[in-house]
Amino acid sequence: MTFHDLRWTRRELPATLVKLALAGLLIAVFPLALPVANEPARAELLATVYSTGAIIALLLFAPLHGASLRNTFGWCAAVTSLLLIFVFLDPATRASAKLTPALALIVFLLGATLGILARRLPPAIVIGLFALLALVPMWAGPMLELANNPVWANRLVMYVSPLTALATALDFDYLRTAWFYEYSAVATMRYDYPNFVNIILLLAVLPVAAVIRRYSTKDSAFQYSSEAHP
Amino acid sequence: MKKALLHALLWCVFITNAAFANDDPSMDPALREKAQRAVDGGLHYLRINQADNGSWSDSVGITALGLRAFLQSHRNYGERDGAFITRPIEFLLAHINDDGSISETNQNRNYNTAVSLTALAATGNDEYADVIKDGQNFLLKLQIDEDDGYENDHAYYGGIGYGGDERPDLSNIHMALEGLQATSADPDDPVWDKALRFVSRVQNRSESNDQEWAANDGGFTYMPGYSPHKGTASYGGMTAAGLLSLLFAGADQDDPRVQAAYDWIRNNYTLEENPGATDGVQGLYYYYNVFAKSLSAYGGSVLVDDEGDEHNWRNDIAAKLISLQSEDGSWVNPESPRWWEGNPQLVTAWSVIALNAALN
Repeated sequence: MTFHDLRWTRRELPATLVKLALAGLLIAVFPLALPVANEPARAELLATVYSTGAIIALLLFAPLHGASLRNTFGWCAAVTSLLLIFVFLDPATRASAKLTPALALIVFLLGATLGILARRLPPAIVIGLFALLALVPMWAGPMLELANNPVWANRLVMYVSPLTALATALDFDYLRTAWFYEYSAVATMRYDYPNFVNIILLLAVLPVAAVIRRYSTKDSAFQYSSEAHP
Repeated sequence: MKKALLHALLWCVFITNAAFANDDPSMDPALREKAQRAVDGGLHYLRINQADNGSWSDSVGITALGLRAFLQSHRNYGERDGAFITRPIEFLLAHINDDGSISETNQNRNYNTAVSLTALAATGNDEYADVIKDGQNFLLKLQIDEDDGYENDHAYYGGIGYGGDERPDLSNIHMALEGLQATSADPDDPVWDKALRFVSRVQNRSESNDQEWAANDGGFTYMPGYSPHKGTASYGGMTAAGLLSLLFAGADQDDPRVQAAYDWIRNNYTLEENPGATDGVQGLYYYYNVFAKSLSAYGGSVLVDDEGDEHNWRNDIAAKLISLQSEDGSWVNPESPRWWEGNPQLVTAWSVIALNAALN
């Protein structure tokens, strides 16, 4: 970390703490917005909901637009840490604690991928993209049904949904939960979850490429400071 | 003495005839021949579309159903008949997991294990006893009960889901009960009573269903409080599955829940569609399959609907499936791929099993 980065962090500390608190609050209240009480797989479902809340909190509260790569990764790590705290604090999710390393890795990489996009794109567009991809089993379902569920299209749907990535980490078939089964035609057709390693590799593409570019080209576009982009 | 012997002989002939008459499935003889040819056509399709590893569609579930279609057909196929029977068995055995499940995927572990047990039981080979026992234990552990934190007043109590701790549903539990029943699971095991509790909570019969949404037509919906076709409405596929589940779980023909389900099937009798389903076409072959199995388990061949019309279900299902069979011997649902009915290997296996039930 450069002296410049440290100075920026110190100056922004109160605001950063407030944003982190808001992120934590959002993660905490996110399960209230979704009906999970009756699900037998409550731990996995709650962990998925917490994770989704963590990603949205990252996109809403982290100053990603124009941020340095280091700052983006720092926020991803912070939000992932918040997620782990909630997963461990909640008695309902503690049972699936053995899966949290995998979940943390997915959330970090997913956050990093979206965070890197958010450095260049307006946050609203990235949040919209996240929502669009998260709900791909809902809106793509009728199209798959119409096309008789071709294997390639089904795989595409499964690979691009961030919820699938989270579910893969938790070994959790979220499409068979009551809500998704009711609203997603994908759940009624043949599908399979992607391999966990494939998901990791896929999500690592953008972050790794950004890091390589940062250290190979020393592109100034990746070294924004708060002064240039307050 | 001679007279007494002749008398005894006549009695023997009479009793034998009577016994055969009772076993007569009452399918029209000409139709029976056509139905058997349709079965042969379906089995031929399955045989030439079998993968090198012995599977169909690389799926444990479809392979087990295809295997069952062969083993329970009028041809009486068995392992002695060659690789087209032994290789699917090997495929199933190659997918046994440490927890006793038989599945190539974490999804559908209940379905896959249940239909595998049914198929392995149909081989009649004692060598699979340990595999079957482990599979039974896996299914038993899937049942939602006190061990999972659910008391018997919960709508999910006694149910079984897809096998990954998901919410239970009638389709999954009917398959599980069929697998347990086919493999002669302990009739005193609490699984049956708990299953009856769950199955009763999926029936639209408020006298035996304590759920607020329960109506009173006697039919079944998919899971407590939900049907994929609308609200909590009863529909054909699930009502037949409900009837079968009740019978497997120990309820007899005199049980009012069984009678109510049977009455729903009588009064909504049709093979033109899956009655109550969206557009009538979703889950159509699933309906044919479980319709034939449930009425076969119930016994008899003729139903009388509420208008007094008689229906010989064996004739009707045979005629319907014969009319829908493709030239290559397969069946497929061209109207809806839901519940995998766009897969001709699955739908052909289901159709042959339905014909087998009607013929046997």
